[in-house]
Amino acid sequence: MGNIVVFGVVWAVLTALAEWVFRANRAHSFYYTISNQGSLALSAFNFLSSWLMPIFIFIVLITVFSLVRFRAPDNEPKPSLVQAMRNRWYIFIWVGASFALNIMFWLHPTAVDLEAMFTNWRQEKAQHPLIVNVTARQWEWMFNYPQYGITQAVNAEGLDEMELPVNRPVEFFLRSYDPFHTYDVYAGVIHSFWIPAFGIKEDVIPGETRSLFLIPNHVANFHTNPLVRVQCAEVCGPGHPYMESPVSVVTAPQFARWIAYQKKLQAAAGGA
Amino acid sequence: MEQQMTQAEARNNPQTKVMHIAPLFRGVIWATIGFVVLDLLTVAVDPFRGHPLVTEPSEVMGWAGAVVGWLMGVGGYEEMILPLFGSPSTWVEPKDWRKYFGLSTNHKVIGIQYLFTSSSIFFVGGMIAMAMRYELMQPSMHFFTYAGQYLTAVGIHGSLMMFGVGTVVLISGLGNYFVPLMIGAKETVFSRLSGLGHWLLPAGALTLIASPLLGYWDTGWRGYEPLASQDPGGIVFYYLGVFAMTLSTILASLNLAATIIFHRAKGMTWARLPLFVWGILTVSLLNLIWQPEIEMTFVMALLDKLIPFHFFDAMGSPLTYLSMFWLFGHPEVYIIVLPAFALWNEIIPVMAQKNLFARDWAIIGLIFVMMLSGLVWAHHIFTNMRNSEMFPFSFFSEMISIPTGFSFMAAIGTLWRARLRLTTPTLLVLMSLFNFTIGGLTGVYLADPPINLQVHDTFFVIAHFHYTIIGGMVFTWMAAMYYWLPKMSGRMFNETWGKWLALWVFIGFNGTFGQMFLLGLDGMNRWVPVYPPYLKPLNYSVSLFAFFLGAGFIATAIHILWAWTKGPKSPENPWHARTLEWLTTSPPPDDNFDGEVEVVRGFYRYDHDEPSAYLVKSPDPVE
Amino acid sequence: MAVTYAKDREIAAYRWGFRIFLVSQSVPFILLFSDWYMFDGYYVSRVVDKWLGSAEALLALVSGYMAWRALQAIRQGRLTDMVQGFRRAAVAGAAQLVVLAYQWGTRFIPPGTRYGEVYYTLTGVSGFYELIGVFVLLAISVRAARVQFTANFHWDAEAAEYFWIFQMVAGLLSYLFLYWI
Repeated sequence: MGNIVVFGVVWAVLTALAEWVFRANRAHSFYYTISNQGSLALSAFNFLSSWLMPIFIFIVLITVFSLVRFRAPDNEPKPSLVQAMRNRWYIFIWVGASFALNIMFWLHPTAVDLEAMFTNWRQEKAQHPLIVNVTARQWEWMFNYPQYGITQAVNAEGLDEMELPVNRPVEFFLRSYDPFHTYDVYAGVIHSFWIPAFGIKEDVIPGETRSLFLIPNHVANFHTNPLVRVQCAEVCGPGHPYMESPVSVVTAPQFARWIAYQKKLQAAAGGA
Repeated sequence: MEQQMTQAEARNNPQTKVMHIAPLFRGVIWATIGFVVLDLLTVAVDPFRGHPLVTEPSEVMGWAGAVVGWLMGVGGYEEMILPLFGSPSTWVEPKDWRKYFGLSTNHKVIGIQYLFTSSSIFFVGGMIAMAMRYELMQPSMHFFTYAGQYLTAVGIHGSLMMFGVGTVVLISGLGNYFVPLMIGAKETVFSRLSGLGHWLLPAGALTLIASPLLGYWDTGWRGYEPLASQDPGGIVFYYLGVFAMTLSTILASLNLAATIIFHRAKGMTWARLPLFVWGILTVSLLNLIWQPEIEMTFVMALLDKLIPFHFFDAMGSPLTYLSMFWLFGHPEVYIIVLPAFALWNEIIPVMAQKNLFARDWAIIGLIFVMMLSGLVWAHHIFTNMRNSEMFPFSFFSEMISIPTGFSFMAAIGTLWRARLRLTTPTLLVLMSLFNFTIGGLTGVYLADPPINLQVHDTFFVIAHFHYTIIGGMVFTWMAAMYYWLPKMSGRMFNETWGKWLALWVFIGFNGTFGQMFLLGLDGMNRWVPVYPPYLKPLNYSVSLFAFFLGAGFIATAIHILWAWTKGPKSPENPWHARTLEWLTTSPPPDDNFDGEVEVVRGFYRYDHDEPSAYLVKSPDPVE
Repeated sequence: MAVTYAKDREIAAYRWGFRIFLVSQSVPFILLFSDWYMFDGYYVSRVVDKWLGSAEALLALVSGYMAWRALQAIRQGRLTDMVQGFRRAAVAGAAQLVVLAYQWGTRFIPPGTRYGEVYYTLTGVSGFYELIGVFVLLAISVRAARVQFTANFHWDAEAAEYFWIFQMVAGLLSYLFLYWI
């Protein structure tokens, strides 16, 4: 009995301590998150963390406890004094708790968050989102804004870049580059569209068009935080590590100015 | 009746011959001949003249010829082909060290061959990992010249470790050596097949290691299509190498499963079967189902590459390849780790001299993990799925942690209030429990789709699966090597060195892979030799720990090799264990037991002094 | 008596092991059949020659029957009949392979089509198993001349027969999927 009490107290104290430390830092579990989708993932991550912490501490403590409390003074092969093969309560609690926890994790965060995620998507779809056509090719991301007539958004040096207005829903259409519908293996492989700061990625599969919704909710760009970038996450050949593009989340007036600038660039390119 | 029987067995009529050439050399020569003959034959029937002498199709055919030549050369000709046609086998198994360098029918020799080959593969794969970590110390290319070289290194590292180490050491290696001993068998059912199967492993590993000669392939160990179809010829050797290694595993599993079912000693009922044997039986069944699956998938991918067909590119369905790969891929990780779970509960009761707690639950856990493992594959491709599809896979992925937990439950129940002897195997098993807990709990995050969509394909995932495989399996492998070293060699290791080395590896391991979780969350994606500079400090520190870890593995290997050859003599049963392998001498004689084994009670009771089995020495054979 | 028991046990182990091996080898076929369903559905190419296909299926059936008869023969202790039966079965199997090779050689079915891909993969894989089966049948019929098979001990012949029937069933299923369903 003594062991159980000591173990229980140490476990409770350590768990409380760990939870306290975690609570102070949990806004930064994902380092930097600036979209509604990212917040969803972050809250799920933090919820799971605070529930898994006691389990983790339990197992770690058991290993340490065995090394300290249950350690034999010498290596003589003497049988242990306690020879239990069964403990109904221990088994009952273990099995019951593992079922209960797993079912809970499946209902919340998994089921609840998936439901929230796709409800968000439906609502964002209804709010006339900004449409960005994203085309992946080896090894480049290309961004096209059909509502503004911008075929390929680039900066002054001609490098692809993406700019999004803050707090406005965005719908990304993800396609693989195949302008002549040749379905050549040399034209299309799997890429994965990932913006680390937005907390989501989706594979881009040759021959498929997929869409993705989210709302960026902070002004930021690649220079303020390097997580604000488009990064290919699925290996796509030797150019894979170079397949990234800067992203800027800006205010609505800044976005309007950027669109005007893009139009000017496009006209200049067309006129030249 | 008995007269007819002896006639039916051609091997009873030995007309032995002396080998004038070492089997390995003969194997190399015959393999070369096989390659040249089939390669030229393919070129000869090539309808389009003017191709070079070695093309992708001809190298596949040539490779098949080389493997057949190699297998025949190392002894398959005498041991398989001659008996198949009814001639007596002329193969002589040497009694000295040479027995390890040719086809053997003794499961202990085969086990050591597997352990040696696999450890060599582990060394090569580890050195490749060191090169990768060295490259990642800087955010730009500074060690490899091309990104393709780095990606090839990643692919070879992953494939070697998965198919040449993870699937092999505990099953074909320790399983081959100890399962027959633990069930009181004198030999295995398909001894010759198993002996031949070992030689597929070095063939496959060498194929993979040679793959860069044919061009850098960049898909990693998963060979995702359509990228693989785009890759140069190296990818062909990836398919072929993995094919040979998985075939080796299939043969070993078939032999072990049949042996467990038919060669148990008298009184070795299912209720008394040791845990490790249960572990090997469950994973053998998994191997028999899933390894042929991946082989056929690779055959189709190879056809996509060579002909080319269009099963898996944009004209077919890339997602089909992904599903077919992970249908095998997820059971694969349980194939790797289930024997380790079983070994925890094999070693802990011995070291604690305490009854194994809830043995039935531990076995149920193994069986249910085996059954559920085929239902979770799609959590590897959440980034390709619809809402409705994510629900069930997320459900099964989370549920599989329940039977996994049963192994922990039994281990912890046994540890509780034990008189635990703190030996090196104990320490390593406890470390393995610790590491696998981290690997398992981070798996709960990954099973949740919204989190998965952020951390998928990042270093978070790399850290997660290295925690389960190195942390779970490799640590247990080391524990088992120390635990069974006295049995395999008759010698003992140095406890002080053993513990310090274990601590060394533990610190190196957790330093390396613990920080990788942070890297992944901070936006470091996989398969990149070049990354944004803000990730450099953390990568630099990971690399330093990785070198420390690598050195720790080498030091451990040196310690084990030293103990194996020069260590102090060990007593017959140094751990006071009760399972059958300790009933015989160390190392065991050729036919394992000098007499008949009879099991009278289970092996996991330490509350009495009655022996669990008797060895009845028979003065004259039963005949 | 004890020896006979041990020998029976040994044969039982071989038998079980071989069966489980065949079950394991059915996995690639299950995979291919599902891929057939996925890529090809219920489409049968119009250029396919159903007569040649049926000839192949018929040869497979005949050869399977011959091998089965051969096994019956050795069960009754008629060794020469067994050897002849296996050799005839091997010849029929080889004839089937020749028909298949003819079909492949003419390239009547274009390999660039969806149906063609599935056709060549399925017939290729089952043809490969059949090639091994022919080799095993011939090997066992040679072996029978040197190792005395009896009515009681003929596991080698039984194994060859198992493998032959296995590849026959796989081949017939492929035939059904490719030509009819």
